Amino acid sequence: MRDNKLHTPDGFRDYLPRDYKFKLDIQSKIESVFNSHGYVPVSSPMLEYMEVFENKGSIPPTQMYRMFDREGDILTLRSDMTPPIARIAATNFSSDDFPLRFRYTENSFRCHESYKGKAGEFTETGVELIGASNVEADAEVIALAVKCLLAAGLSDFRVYIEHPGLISGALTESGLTRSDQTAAMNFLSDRNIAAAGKFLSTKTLGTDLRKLTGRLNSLTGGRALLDEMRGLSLGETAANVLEELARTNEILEDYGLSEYIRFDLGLSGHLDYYTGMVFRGYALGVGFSLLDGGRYDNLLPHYGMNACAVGFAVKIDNLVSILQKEAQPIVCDALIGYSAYVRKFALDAADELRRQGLIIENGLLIGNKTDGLNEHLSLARRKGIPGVIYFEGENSVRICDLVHNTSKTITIAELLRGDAL
Amino acid sequence: MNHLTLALAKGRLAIQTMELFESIGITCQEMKSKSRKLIFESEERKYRFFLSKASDVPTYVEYGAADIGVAGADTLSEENRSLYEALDLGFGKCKMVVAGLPTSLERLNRGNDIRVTTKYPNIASRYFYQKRRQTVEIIKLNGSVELGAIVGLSDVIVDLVETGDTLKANGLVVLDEICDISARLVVNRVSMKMKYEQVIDLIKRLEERIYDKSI
Repeated sequence: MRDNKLHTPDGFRDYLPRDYKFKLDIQSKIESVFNSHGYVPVSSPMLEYMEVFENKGSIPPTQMYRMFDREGDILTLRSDMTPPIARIAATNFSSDDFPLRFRYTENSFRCHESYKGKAGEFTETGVELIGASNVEADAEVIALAVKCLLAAGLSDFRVYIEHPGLISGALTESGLTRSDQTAAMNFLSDRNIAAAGKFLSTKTLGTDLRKLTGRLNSLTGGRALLDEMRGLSLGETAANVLEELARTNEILEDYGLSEYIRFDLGLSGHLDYYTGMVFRGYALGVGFSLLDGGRYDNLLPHYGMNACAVGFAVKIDNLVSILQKEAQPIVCDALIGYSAYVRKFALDAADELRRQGLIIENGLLIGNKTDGLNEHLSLARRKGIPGVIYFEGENSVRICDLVHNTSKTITIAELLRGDAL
Repeated sequence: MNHLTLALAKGRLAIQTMELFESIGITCQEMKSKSRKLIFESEERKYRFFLSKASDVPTYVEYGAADIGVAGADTLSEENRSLYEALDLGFGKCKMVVAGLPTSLERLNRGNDIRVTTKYPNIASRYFYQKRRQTVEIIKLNGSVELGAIVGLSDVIVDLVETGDTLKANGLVVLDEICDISARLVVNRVSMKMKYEQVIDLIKRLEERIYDKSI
């Protein structure tokens, strides 16, 4: 029998200090990118009414943790941050406040099948830009996605932009029957390129559309691909989509970030609340995307606000697992020790050093032993702390450098001037 | 340059896959020798191969432990992982069917009170619940599924049929066809993007080869 009091539930984990500090550092690097672009923080409750998540394209209810409150209403642990932010925007703000720029760092929850290694709880740091519908807004948010991966310390990554409207538009205007269109789009949203290609190869399509559907696997590239596709006649919708993507790309070139951007025109994306372009960030080292985002113009109307929106979230835990090798052990800068009668001098001096930015730990050994200094030295060695500051008398401080194995006695004034450290 | 790592479903599928790879110039003698190695490198060292149980191939690929996998459509459909299905390799052809004693056809068509034994509970439940809209009781077995129907554990079975010989020898018949099965090449979502040139090069070479053969 498993002794449950010693375990976390399947899919849930602890973060121990070294990894957790590393995770918080990454979050704060990303948050400061968002902050510097004028995105303000919001927070929503972990529990929401089920209805908040009952919108087109939300994750299936079986993947949500659900429970009842006393009145019998169904509550759910939030499974995604975008619906709560849309609810907050719709119920607290008006179009006078547009454009709204929100950022958040929160944990969301999903209830997965056992033994599939999927996280039940995951952290997302993200932004939503609400009330702006143009390509400038799309490009701002995509640029932020690139900037935050750079800020987190990644260099070898790509942000891929997809647009479900391209292929669906081209197929709609191609004269295919509705059921054939649906069948093809279902294959594409399942990422079943083989089946989609095979299915479409049996249908009558125009020459230009055939050029597109004949290479669904390799509709990936940058500006050149967009230009090539714009040369084909794929119908009005597809032409508009390509025009929009080309303009987005042009703005990203002005941001100086287009080297990180690629387009994948062969996918129809997931069937979710996104209504326009969708983008995802990828890097080698983890088998899943690092960030997901896109334009969702139908979600806010669902909560009663007439507004377009675009946003994305970084999956912090995936990013941590790629960068984890770089996590450093956490060690303070020095340990202080003192005899009881000089405690006040020692505590004051330690606070002054902390104001100067050092991390100072109290040795906590006072009163137990008479041989204070040696006790502190052995504690510092055991914990890998590089220095010991031992207050021997009212104005006599012993400084021990355990890295270079040196020590000297100085005054408190000298200590605070930083001469010794 | 990074390796491409490929997970192959152990057995005949892996042998046929390697034959196909050899025909486009990717050879791996190591794999043919009876060594105890688990991972093999191709001669030009651009590809690494490993063999795994068929049903584990989608898992390796979903997590990116392998960039590419080769497995039957039956396994992919049963595991239902989030992957790119990039290419139908055209071999390993068979059908997923509902089979049973000739007398069970009436029972199959009549109603909900049906017991099904299968190695593929997800495929079976999708078929019965979504396509036939029947509520059935599905019992998972791990091998020789035909026995279920013969000894009376179940009314029908859902299983792969290649020649139909096993069914015939046991007095069972195909009652309905669920879908066509063949070997598929699947790609991890990140590898498809971050190793795009290598992946697409391989896909194109295979595609040309398969297309040539089918003419």
